[in-house]
Amino acid sequence: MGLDGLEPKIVEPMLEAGALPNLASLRGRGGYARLQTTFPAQTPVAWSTFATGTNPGGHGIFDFIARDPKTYFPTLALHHYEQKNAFLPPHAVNGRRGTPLWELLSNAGISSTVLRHPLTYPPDNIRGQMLGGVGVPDLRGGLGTSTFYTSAENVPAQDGESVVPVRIDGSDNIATRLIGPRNPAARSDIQLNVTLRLERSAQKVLLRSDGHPKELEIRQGQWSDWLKVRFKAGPLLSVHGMLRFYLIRLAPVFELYASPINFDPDAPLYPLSSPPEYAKELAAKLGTFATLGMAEEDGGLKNRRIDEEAFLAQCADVLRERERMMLYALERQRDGFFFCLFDTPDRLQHLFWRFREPDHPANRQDVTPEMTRVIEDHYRHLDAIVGKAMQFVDDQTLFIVLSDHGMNSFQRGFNLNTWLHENGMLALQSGIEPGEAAGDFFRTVDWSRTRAYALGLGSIYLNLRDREAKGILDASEAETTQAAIVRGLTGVRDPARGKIAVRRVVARDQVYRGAYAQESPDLLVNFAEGYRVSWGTPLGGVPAALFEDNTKKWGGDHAIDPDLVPGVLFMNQPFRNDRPSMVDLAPTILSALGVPKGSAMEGESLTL
Amino acid sequence: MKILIIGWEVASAEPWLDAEPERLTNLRWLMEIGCYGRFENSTESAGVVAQTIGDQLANAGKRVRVIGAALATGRNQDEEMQQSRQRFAEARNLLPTAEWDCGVILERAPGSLSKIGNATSDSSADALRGYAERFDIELSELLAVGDDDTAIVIVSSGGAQSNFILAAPRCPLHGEIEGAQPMDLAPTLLELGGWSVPAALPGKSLIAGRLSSPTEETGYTDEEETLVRERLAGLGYI
Repeated sequence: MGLDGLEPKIVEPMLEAGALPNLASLRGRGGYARLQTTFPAQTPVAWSTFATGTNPGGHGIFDFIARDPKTYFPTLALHHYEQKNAFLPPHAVNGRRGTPLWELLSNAGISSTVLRHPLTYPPDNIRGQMLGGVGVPDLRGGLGTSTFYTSAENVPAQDGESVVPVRIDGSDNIATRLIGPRNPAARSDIQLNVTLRLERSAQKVLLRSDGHPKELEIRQGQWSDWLKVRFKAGPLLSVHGMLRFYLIRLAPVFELYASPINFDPDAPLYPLSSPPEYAKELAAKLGTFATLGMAEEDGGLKNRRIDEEAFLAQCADVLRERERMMLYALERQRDGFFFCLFDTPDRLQHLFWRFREPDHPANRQDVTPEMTRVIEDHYRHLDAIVGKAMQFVDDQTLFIVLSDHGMNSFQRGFNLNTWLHENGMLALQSGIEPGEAAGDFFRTVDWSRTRAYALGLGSIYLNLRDREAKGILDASEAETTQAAIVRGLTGVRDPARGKIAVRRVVARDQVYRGAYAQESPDLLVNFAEGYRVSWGTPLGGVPAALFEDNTKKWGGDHAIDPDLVPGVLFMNQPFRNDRPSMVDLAPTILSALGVPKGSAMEGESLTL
Repeated sequence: MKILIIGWEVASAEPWLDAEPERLTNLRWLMEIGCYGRFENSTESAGVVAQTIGDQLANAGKRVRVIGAALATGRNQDEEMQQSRQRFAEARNLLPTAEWDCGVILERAPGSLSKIGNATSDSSADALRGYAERFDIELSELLAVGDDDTAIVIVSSGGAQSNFILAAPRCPLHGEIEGAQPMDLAPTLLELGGWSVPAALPGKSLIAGRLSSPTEETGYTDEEETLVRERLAGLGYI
C-alpha cells in the first residue's frame, strides 16, 4: 500500500501515542524505518524508482516538468503524445522508462494488480490488471482544469481554471456552457450548452443538459453526483467525459465550481487501464469514480474558490472510492503482487500544513482547532484502511506500507531565475527588468548571454552549445559555470529571516547514472526547511524579488532537500534497517515472489 | 506526393460513427484531419468510383497500381475474410516501395455480411460491426507504413449512397463537404500533388486555387503555448 507523502515526524509520535494501531501492529510484527527517497523528493520521481528499482537516471523521470532544449519551453514530463504519421491518431507515451517490477513478474508468469500507481498512463500491458494513476489527464489534456462560474464581473482566471461569467437578471434560468476539450485546429474550446435553473428557496440549482442525468441536482454546500457528458468535436466525432459541481453560493454573488472533466471509465478517450475494459468493470461493480491522475480538488482550494470543508468532502469521496477499489481487487487476488496508492494524504497535507504553523504567511485568522487536527485525523483514517487491507494478509503474505516522501513547511519562495539573473548567469533582453514585464516561458530571456536557467521544482539547466537551441557554453565553460552556481547558491541566506534557504546544490553526475541520465537537469537545488522554489519560477518566470512570502493555501511541500523529507516504511516481516531506500523495494518484492531482480536494479532485498 | 485510394464496399458505417464515438478511431481521425462528404447523385459502388479515379489518374500519366481488382467471391465468410487480410498485406508491401504514384485498394465486406447489411438482427449487426472494426485496424496498420506526403481517399458505399474521406498534407478542406461528385476527386488529387490537370478531365477540383503553401517552422505559436500551459494546468506545485 502506498500512502503518498506520509511524514515520519507525524507518524512517529502518533505511533508512540497509540493513535495508529494498525501501523503499530505492523511495526511490531516486522518493523518500521524512515525510507530514503529520491533526488528530487517528488511523487512521479520516487514512485518510478519504486517501480523500476533504479535511480531516476534509469527511468527518465526527474521532475513533473521537463523542458524541450530546442525551444526552452517547459513540458509535462509524465507523458506525451506521438503519431506515427499525420494520418494516424496520436497515442499516449509514458515518460517513465526502465523496466518496472510488474513487467518482470509478468515475464515470470506472475500476476499483478496495480491500482493508481503514478506514471502508469498509458497503462502497461501486464499479466493481471492495472488502473492508471498520477499522469492521467483530464479531457483538456492537462492535469486538471476546473471551471468557476460567477455573476461577479471581471474575475480573472487563476492557476488551472477557466472562469465563465454568468448573468443573473430577473430570470431563474441561466444559459451557460461547459468547457470541453481544446480543438487545436480550430483554436477554440469545444463547448456544451447547459441551463442552470436556480431554486433559491431550496438552495439548489438544477443543471439541465443532454448529458446523464438530464437534470442534475446541485445543492448549496455539497458536491453533486457525476454528470456524464459528450462533447461533439465534429458531426461524427465526440468525446465522453464526466464532472461534478459544487454550488458555493446562490446570493449575493452566484458562484458555482465545476471539477475538471474526467475521462469516463466507460468510454475513455485513451485507455485508462490494462486490460482496457478493467476500468469499465470497476465502474460497473463499484459505481463510477474519479479517473483524473490527481483527483483531489486542490486547485479549487488553492485558488480560494472552494473552502476547506468542500475540499475535505471531495477528498473523502476520493478516499472512499479508492478503498472500495482496493478491497474489490484484494478479494479477487489469490497470489502475486498487489499495489494500491492512496494519493490523498499528499494533497491534503500540502493544503493543511499551514495550520500547523501559527506564523505561516498564508494564514488569515482562519486557523481553528478543527483545522489543526485535520492531518492527524486523516492519518488515523488511513490507519483504519491499512487495518482493512491487513485482513487479506496471511502468513504467506509480505505486506508493505510505504510513503514516497514526507512533507514539510513551505513558508518562503525563492526565485531561482532571479538569483541567476542577479549573478550574471541569466540575461534578459535589453530594457527588460525582472518582474511582470519579464513574463514566463523565458519569453524575454536573451539566450546569447545566458549561461543557465531554472525551471521545474528546483532544476537548473546550463545553456549548452549543441544541446540547447541557442546554447553558448562549451564543455569547459559549462564546468566553471556549474562550479560558480554551486558555490554561490549553497548556503544562500534569506535576509528577512536570517535563515539559510538552500542547503546544497548537487550536480547530476553526483546522483544520476543510467540510460536516461543525460536528459536530467544539470543541477538540483536542495532547499532548506520552510523554503521552496517560488511560484514564479517553475514555468520560466523571472520575478522581481529574490525571496517572497508564500501566501497561497498550498503551504506545505516536499520539493526540498530529500534528506529532510524521507518517507516511511512498514513491513510485516523483519527487515534490514540500515538506511533502506526507495531502490530497495522492487528487489524486495521480486525476491518475495522468487523472481530475480532486474539487471538495472540498484538496491537489494530488505527482507532477512 | 503519393495517392492512396481505398474503395470500401460495406453497408454504411455511419450509424455506428454517430452512436459509438469510441469505435472506428482511425477512420474518425482521418475525418478529423481531413474532410468528408456524401457524393451527390451517385449510384456507383465504392469499388467502381475508386477504380474510375485510378483510371483518370493513369490517363493523366500517373503510375497506378490496383490491389484487389478481381475481387474473388469466397465460398464462405471465413474465406472472404482471409482474402481481405491478403489484400491489406499486399497493400502494406506495396506502400513503402517507390514504383507507383497512385495505389488503389478495392476492399469489400464479405458478401454474406453485405447482404445482411440492412438487417436489423443483433447478431448480423454485430458481425458487420466486427468487420468494420477490423477494417479500421487494417487501415491503421496500412497507414503506419506510409509517410506524411500521401493523399488518402476512402470511398465507401453501402445501400444507395456513397461517401468519401479525403486527407492530405496542405489540403485546405476540413469538415463536411457538400455537393462533391465522384469525378471531382481526380482533379483535386492532381492539384494537391502539384501536377497539371489535363483539360479533358471531367469534374472540377474541390480545392481549385486554394492550396495552402507549406508553412515554415517559426518556433512556438501562441496556440502551441496555450496547449503547453493547458497540459501543465492543474499541477498544484506551480
